[in-house]
Amino acid sequence: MKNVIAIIISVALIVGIGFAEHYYIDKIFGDFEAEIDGFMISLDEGTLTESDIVASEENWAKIKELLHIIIPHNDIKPFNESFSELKVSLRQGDFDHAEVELQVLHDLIISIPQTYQFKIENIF
Amino acid sequence: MVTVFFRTLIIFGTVLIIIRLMGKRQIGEMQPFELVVTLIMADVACTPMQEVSIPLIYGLTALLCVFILHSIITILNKKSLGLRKVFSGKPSIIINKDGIDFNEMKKQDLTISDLLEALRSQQVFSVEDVQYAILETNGNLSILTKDETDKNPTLPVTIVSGGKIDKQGLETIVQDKEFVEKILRREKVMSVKTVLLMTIDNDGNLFYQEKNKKYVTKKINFQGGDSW
Repeated sequence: MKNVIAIIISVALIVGIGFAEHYYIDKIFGDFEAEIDGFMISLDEGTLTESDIVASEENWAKIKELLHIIIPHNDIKPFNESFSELKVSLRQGDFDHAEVELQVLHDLIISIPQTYQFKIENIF
Repeated sequence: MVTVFFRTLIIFGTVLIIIRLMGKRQIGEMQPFELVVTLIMADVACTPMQEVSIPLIYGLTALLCVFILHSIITILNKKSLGLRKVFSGKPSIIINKDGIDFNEMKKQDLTISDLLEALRSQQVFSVEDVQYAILETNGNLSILTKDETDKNPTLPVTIVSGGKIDKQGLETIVQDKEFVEKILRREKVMSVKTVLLMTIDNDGNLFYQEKNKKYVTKKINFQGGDSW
């Protein structure tokens, strides 16, 4: 009986944490994608400023504290680098490079959640 | 450094709890699947301890999965003799009344040197002194020396284990299910499910114990197969 209870609790924990992880990552990166899409439109319109990116980076700093619990730290590092390069590009008026960095961020946002989805290619 | 220290504390605590839940056997003689579990646990526990870029939850989840697998296999082992053989193997009689069973040794990939070494480690220095040697599923060699056999000349064979009839045991004594049922009827045992263990040797010495009852030994009129 002790074994059965332990199995049920363990399976419930794994399934529960799995669903929470899936929901949390989808939600975080979904919101983040919308924000980056907004930046791309602002960049096209020429209204994107360094302060917009700083605000977004501050928000990201809060989010990543929790993300570190479920995502390998090395996967989070490229976001920090892209934010830094984006800020400098906007400060220097290098909008072409800023566009590249926004695209890099966008691709990261799309690819990272896919890595954590329950798919055959992710299992093997 | 502090991070590694705390990660080690958490992993150590988790492994300790899991080992405790797995029972005492895990720290003594291990069955094959228990060895696999222990080997995997050692690796799974070490990686997140040292690799700080991997979230601790990955290691904890893997440990939990290993624990679930161990618990499921333990339950299946209790429920089914067939599955117990799949997961843990079955004991092999390496030395019987006729001497060393070469075919059984070949099956177990055991050399004569291995056998002699195992005998010596049990203070037996001559094969001649051995009545029976059984290679247990945990890799230990159990030996019945000829001195001890004065009292109990043949090896008792398990015919009921954990409430289930052991078909292989019945084959060894050249009997069928009806033989066990006849004993149960005669002994007024309601069902085979209530029998924890029933063994019989070639001289008809019957031993059985029902759940939550005292064991019973008696001699029955039995001339079974004399091959074991």
